[in-house]
Amino acid sequence: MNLHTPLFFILVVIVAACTPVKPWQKEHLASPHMAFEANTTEGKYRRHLYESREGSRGGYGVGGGGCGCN
Amino acid sequence: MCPFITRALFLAATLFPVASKALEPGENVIDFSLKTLDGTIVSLSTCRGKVTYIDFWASWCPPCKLSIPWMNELVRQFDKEKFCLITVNVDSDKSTVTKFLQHIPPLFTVVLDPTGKVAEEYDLHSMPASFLVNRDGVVLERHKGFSQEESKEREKIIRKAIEAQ
Repeated sequence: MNLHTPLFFILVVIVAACTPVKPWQKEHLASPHMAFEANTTEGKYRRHLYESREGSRGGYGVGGGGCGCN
Repeated sequence: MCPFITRALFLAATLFPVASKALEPGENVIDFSLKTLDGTIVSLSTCRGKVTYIDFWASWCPPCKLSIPWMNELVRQFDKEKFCLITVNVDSDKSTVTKFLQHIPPLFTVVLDPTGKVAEEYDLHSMPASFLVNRDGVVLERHKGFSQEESKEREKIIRKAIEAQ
């Protein structure tokens, strides 16, 4: 039995289901529960230490308060 | 055609979504009718004949929160006979909006678009997003985001639109 055709259509369905989140749909992304780190205060101190040590900053998180706003 | 090429083309087609038509400067604004918090239906067409500032915002959007006092200032600054400010909130839950606005009472009209239907029609590229429309209903400017640094410049643009013949 040729499995290529059904596998191909499964792949098409999966790929077609991938759609970008529109800016006005990012309500849940902005939730504190969606933050990458559990403890934001600790995260700030760690980032400060890292930035001081490395002499550079950035490359983490999402801008605009977690929702990517602005 | 080779089945492999046919499938590859078909797959490629699903990777590129059809681009939606964004509302750009020079185009006519899209009218809408939405409910306010107290259930009154308000249409954008009520602003016809005035320079109109349309702002899309949400309570979960930090820059949007910063823009509300600025928009209150715009309402105080400009003559209501010549300037209309209407904001469209896209929160999915009305109670969140009510609670939020208790902290920063707006001096402008707030209408609700919980399903994002109007946001989709305007094809927003950011949150917040705003549109400046002239008296004839033509979009003069579409703006992404909000920052205090840009606010003075934007006030000048609005003033210029109001004073234009």
